[in-house]
Amino acid sequence: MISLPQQCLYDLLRIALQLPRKERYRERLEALSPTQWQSLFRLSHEHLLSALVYDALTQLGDAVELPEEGSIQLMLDADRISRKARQVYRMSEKLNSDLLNNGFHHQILKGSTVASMYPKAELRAAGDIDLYIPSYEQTRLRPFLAKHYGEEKMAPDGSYHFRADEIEIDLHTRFYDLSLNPALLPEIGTPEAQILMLSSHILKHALGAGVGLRQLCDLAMANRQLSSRYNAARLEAYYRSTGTYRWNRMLHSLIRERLGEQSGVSATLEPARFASLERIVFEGGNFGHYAPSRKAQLRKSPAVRKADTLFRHIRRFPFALYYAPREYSAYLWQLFKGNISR
Amino acid sequence: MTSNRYHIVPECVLRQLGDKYLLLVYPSDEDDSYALQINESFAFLLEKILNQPSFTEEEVSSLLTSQYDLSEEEARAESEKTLALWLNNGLIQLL
Repeated sequence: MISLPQQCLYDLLRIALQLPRKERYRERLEALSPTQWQSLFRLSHEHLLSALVYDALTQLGDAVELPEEGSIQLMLDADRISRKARQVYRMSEKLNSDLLNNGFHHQILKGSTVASMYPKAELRAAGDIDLYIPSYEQTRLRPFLAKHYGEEKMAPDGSYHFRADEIEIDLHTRFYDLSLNPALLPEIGTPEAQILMLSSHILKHALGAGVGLRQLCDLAMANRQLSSRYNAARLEAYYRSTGTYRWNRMLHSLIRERLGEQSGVSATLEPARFASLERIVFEGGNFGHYAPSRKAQLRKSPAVRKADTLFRHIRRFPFALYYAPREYSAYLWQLFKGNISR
Repeated sequence: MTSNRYHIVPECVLRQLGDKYLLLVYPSDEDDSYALQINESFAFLLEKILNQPSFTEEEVSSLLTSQYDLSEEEARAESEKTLALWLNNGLIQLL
């Protein structure tokens, strides 16, 4: 059972994302008390959804009476998100075209690509640019990025990052957050690959510190856009072969029921209960950063943060064992290696 | 009578939610950005002139008379006051 502010947040997301509106949404919004409006605004902030919520409220116009408190902060949040998003997506486009012109076989991952599938890209909060490059091209790409996109830095996990105009570019040599041999997964660049990549990314975070609604909106938007170009049965087969079928049934059920997105596999997969995933989503907002206990740990040293991340993975044991045991063991092993290697 | 022409100096964004209006001002140095909660008439004026390359006090005055029940004299006094305020706050500049 979810709270009225949570229900209303879903209602507003459906409006902003142009997904089918759920009946009686106006009545629910009208029933919100000033305190519940504050909760809704806080949720929007914690899930980086303020720009979408603001957009939905402007679409509703005078139909909804807003409280005195919180509206100004929402407008500030929305503007901050849209400004940053425009900046990131501009750079992402430039990066994409520079790399294409120089013959790289790259992919811009996650947000920067999915944003273009939103009704308005600037409503989707953006942070870094995630860039995938096949490992055989990494040696050629790194000096190129260092020359044109700022100084190279190596993260403790061995990955490379570049920073230009306050925007970080993270280099990845793995496309999927899955442990299976990539040769057994959909070919990179196909619609199936895009959906599987997003779903496995959500899984990775859900099995750790947490995942927010923004990532679920990403999957909903990508699925709506790509469903006519992929084969739902084939994608379902990939869900089975990667051992994430149960996970994906739950994930798509949540998207279908709460956001109203019901195309492609969201329509064909058998419905499943999703309360346990929804609890994870609401316990800590964007990537779990707003869970009170996590917030305190994030301010501490890298060693404490790593230990906290490991602890959060261990806490997911029963959930993970049921929904994605193979991936869970792989993530735990990676974390364990990361913790003992330094 | 010669009329001064003005233009808006920094990047401004006008946001509205219900009956609340917010003007977000972004000078060239983003660190100096600020937000002002403004009233409906201020928002109306800004909305009309934000996308114009320049404007005069008379244009502001006639915008006010077209929207509100003001005499020409009252509108002129109001626009004079508003433009002086914007000028002092670095929002507009004389061309």
